Amino acid sequence: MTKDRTEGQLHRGGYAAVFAALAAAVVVGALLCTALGSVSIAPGKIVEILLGGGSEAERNILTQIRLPRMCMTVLLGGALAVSGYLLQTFFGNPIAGPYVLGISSGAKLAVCAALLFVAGGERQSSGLLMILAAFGGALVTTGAIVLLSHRVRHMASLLAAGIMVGYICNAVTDFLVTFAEDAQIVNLRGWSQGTFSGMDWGDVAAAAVIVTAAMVLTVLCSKPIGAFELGEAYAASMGVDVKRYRVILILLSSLLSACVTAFAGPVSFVGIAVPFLMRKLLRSSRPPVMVPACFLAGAVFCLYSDLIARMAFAPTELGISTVTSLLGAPVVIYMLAVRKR
Amino acid sequence: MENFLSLRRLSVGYPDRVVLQNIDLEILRGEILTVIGPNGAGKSTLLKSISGQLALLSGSVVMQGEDLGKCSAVERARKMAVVLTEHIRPEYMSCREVVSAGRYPYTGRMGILQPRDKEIVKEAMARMKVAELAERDFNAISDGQKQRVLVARAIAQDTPVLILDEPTSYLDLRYRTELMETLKELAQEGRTVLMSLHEIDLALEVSDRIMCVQEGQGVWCGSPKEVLDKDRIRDLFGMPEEMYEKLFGETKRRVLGSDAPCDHTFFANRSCKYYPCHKGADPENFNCLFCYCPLYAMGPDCGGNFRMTKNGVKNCTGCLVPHRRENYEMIMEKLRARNRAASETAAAAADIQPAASSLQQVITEIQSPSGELQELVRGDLSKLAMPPGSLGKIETTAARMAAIQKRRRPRAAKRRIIVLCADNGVVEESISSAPREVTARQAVNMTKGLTGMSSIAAQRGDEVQVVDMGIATPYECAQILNRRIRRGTDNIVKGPAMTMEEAEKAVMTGVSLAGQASKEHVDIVGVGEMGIGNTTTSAAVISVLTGAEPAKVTGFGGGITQQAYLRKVQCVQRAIEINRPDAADPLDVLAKVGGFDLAAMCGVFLGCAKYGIPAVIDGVISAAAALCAVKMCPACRDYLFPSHLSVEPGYTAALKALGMEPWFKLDMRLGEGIGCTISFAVMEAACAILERMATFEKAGIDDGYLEEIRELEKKGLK
Repeated sequence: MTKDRTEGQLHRGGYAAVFAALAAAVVVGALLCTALGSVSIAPGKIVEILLGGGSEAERNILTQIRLPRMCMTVLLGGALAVSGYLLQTFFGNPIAGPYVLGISSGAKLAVCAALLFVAGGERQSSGLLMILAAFGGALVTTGAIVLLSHRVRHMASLLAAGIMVGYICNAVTDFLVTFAEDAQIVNLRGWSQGTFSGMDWGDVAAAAVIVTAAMVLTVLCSKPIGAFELGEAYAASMGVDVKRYRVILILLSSLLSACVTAFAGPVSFVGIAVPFLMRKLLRSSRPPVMVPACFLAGAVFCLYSDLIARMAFAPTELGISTVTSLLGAPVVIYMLAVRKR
Repeated sequence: MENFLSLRRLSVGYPDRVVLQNIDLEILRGEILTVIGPNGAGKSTLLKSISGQLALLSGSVVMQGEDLGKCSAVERARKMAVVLTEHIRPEYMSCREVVSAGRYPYTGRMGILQPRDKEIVKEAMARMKVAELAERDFNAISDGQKQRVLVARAIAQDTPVLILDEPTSYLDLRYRTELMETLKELAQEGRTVLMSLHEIDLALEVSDRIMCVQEGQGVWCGSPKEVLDKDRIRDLFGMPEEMYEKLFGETKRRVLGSDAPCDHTFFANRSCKYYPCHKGADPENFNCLFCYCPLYAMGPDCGGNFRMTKNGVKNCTGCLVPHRRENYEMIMEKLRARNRAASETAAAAADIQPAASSLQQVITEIQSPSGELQELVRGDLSKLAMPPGSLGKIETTAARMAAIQKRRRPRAAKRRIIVLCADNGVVEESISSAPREVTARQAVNMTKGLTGMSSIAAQRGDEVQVVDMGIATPYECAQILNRRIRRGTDNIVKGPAMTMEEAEKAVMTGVSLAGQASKEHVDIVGVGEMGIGNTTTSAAVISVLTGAEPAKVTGFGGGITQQAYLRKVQCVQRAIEINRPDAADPLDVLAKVGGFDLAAMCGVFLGCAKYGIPAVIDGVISAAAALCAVKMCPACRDYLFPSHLSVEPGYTAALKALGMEPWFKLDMRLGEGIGCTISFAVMEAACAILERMATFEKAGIDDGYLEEIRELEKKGLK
């Protein structure tokens, strides 16, 4: 059974092993994220604190800072990776992702504008507004890219177009920031680098609702998404309502990446690198396997990136994108290099 | 085949550009329709519009009464599967997964394959010979393999209509041919295949109909024959005449050849690269430098100037004699001389060579056709989508033909009517309406397709072989095969028609004619005759062999007066009294009161039985001959097929003795083999049902309700 599959897919045991490893990595990463920090808490003590032991400060650090941050990292990391996977399926292009296509930048611009003009710089107070703004920004940019993609089918051209759109959005954002008052943009500085810090349970709940809903929808659509692998024309001939699913795919991926951008700012390369690595590892692009795998792997990727961001130059914290770029960009370069076309 | 898919007032193209408009077409179930046309003519646009990938500009595509424009995507996907020209690069999908994608319209919400789906996928892969690629990454296989996988995917979608846009691209010669074979099979299973092809020769080969499209000029649709006949390809691609001739001249002549009978032995330079370019041309249209000369085939004896090329081809470009029109008379004279010489030699050769095997040997060699095969084919027939036995004699004919031809799918593609011509001495008694010269005249006319039978045969594409068994009047016609025994028989009223040796030779000639037909892969043979006075001889033969009174088996023949009729009956009586033929020895009967034509016809029947060719009986004369053949060798009967109910009374007596019934009654009494032409159509029909008709299984009908009827039939109770 396994012998003739050496070149093809993994057998069931292989899938199980990969998923088990990913799950283990999530658990270990989550533990490390909770345990490590400027105040070190031994893993054994975590349970004790959660059961009501330990000092008040320790309890606060754990329940109000580290646990929400860890949960958020898992949710948003997973969301990013799945968003990337959906975009890649949609464009039939393995290099598509929310960051390189400028969708994150679009969302960022919208969030920035909303902060400056509507909320007056108070970020914490308006989670819903942020999400709506980010979603709007993401949709508009995705729409622009979709229009462009009809003219440029080539993988590199699409990438270039996305980067250009990203630049435009960033330029406008910079423009806004330059003329904004300092007080208004204090929060914006850290956020625009991307960070998982400063999350509270309210944010986690909101993100959890959105991400869970989007994930359920994605899994329900996994059959048509699989059909898209053969290209739109074949998908249509096999009975996929292409127009409808095109819209659904765009909405889902925009929603996921908008959610990430709204809470954590633009986080780069997770959307490309993770699905690519998962495909390589699982030797499959079937949605029923890829969607959960991407989610778990995205969580792992972000957990460890966040850990590095926090710990590498403690107490100075790096932007999360700095780390994900450093880790993710080489993967993308490798990916471009190994592809034949 | 039934109307299945209709294109109604269809206009296709893009919002800013109409490519083809107002297409009306009925497409049949199980039809292969190929779209051809130059690049950019709109082939793909048309196919994409039919398959629903492109929105229609106007009109509708209707399948079995249902407008496809109103179907849901899934419903449509269960009706049509496509193979597209565009490249796909699915990431990490095995070929099996790609093929499995074809099951999409049938799986549930999560797309999980049921065992039946897996079975269908496996079959489709086996069919396209990609089973061993199942686990390979789709991106890692060659383009040709990809194409086959994509075709397998479309097959797995299990739709009544397959739409393939240039399915042969990337395929090598072998897979291309195999793909076409597979498509033919699919069509025979009742799937309709619409495709576009660049290889016109393939299109001509496999298609039932070809659609020529050209932007701005609309579409034209017709059979491959019509396409060639009307030179559509030349016009479609705007080819110069020379290029068209070079590319399609050969094909055209091959396909249309049977429609335009002509003598291409006339232009005998078979080494010429344009051979047989002159097929069908008037001999005077000399326009080719190499084999224009009718004398070319005479080799060194042609009398012209020529030299031999290095390859041994006779090159007469330097010849001065036959080149000009004013030499035409001289050439034709030389040609006639040559033909005369050739037929004399042939006759002489026939004289010298004694029959290779004796008549007795032929008779012992004949065996009844295989009952097993007949049983097998009956089994096949019972699986066809119809109430058992509802095609009546067509079914029994199919089974019998199969057994005779020793093939499960009998064929009736090459049909030949052998017309045996001879004069009879009995015309001296003025029992005939026509003078004896008519025999020769009509024999010649028959070769030109001018007589009743031969005009029908020419129309239907049946071959006519006219054989001179003993025509009395001299004639000039190279197309008549000379097997003359003697110029007419003796008067049977005064003595035996011929010697026993002559009778045996005539019968053996008939056997050898059947042998020749077998060698030339003739599928069915009909037997006809031309000979003034032969209804009289036939009446005598039938009277002797059936023991019926001469008056009861003698008829009015070609049409005579009452007086002449009475004389005719008397002649028959006298002939039998004087000759006293031995009813137990059919050869003796043939020799004493028969004729060369009758004897040779009897031989053809025996020969057909020997060589396994179904043979058709025409009217009274061939019925008399068939009776002789069956009396000589009872197994011969299983090879014979009746045709029409002749008006002649002898016919009825003979067929009764044969234990046969005529198939139809058209009140004909022409002779020549007229009934055979029509029986051929019935036999073609018999072949067609086995070849084309859908089985219950393929038509998707549960035939359980017929079990009991079959059982009854098996017991012979129905």
